[in-house]
Amino acid sequence: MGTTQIVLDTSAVISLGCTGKFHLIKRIFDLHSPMKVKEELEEISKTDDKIGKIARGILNNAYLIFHDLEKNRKSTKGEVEAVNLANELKVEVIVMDDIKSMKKLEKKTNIPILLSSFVIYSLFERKIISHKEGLSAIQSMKAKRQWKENLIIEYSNFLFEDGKKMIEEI
Amino acid sequence: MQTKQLNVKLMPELNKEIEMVSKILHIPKVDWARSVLARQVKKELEEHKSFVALEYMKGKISRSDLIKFLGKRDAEEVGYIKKKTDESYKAAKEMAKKLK
Repeated sequence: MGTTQIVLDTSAVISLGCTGKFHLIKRIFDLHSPMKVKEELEEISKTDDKIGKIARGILNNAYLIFHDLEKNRKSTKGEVEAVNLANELKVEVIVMDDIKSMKKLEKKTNIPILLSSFVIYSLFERKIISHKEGLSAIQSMKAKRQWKENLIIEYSNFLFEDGKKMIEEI
Repeated sequence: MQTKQLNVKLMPELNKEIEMVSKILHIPKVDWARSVLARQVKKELEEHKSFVALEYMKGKISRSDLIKFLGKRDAEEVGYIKKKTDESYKAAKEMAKKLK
């Protein structure tokens, strides 16, 4: 089974970190991120809460390949650098969970920008995890966020659990 | 700001408890009740919004009903979240199929 090249921004790294499945994700994906995402993770890792601990774990385990971009491709935002890196590496997918940024950044690339649930669905579809493990991974990404952001999790969960027929009709 | 009045009759025990809380927190009883009410109303509204949005995503209510409840701006964002989640699900399936 080959690996798929993907670029992650900070929101996706943290969401997937919540699932505790990076060691499995690495089996089917090559994970790339720009240096700005590393900086954002280092900043988050300074906090003494669950998310801070997750960020520390990701940085210590070297799950991601960090890339230093050329000066004209750098940005103050990790998600912008993620898109610039994806365009440079010509990866297959960009993964992010920041809906507002996603909408804006779609205009700057031809590479599909997908949600982190794509990674979990892929683990299941490629038989790395069971259906039950997939459902539990999606639930673990639920955080205390705004209602619209938690909708991603609720609907991802629905698609995974009950929506197979519905999506096939789309 | 123009305010509206809401009169609420309380059981004596609850009234006593509120008085105690207001003493502990050093804020007037009415101010405390107002802030608790505001927090709870916000929470309830968020929960209902989320429920309605999910019903739309599941295909159980129409887009016009969604707009009626959430307004056009929020309804558009909900539509976008649905689109991206559907795309994520489909892409995972298709990629896995290609790799088989």
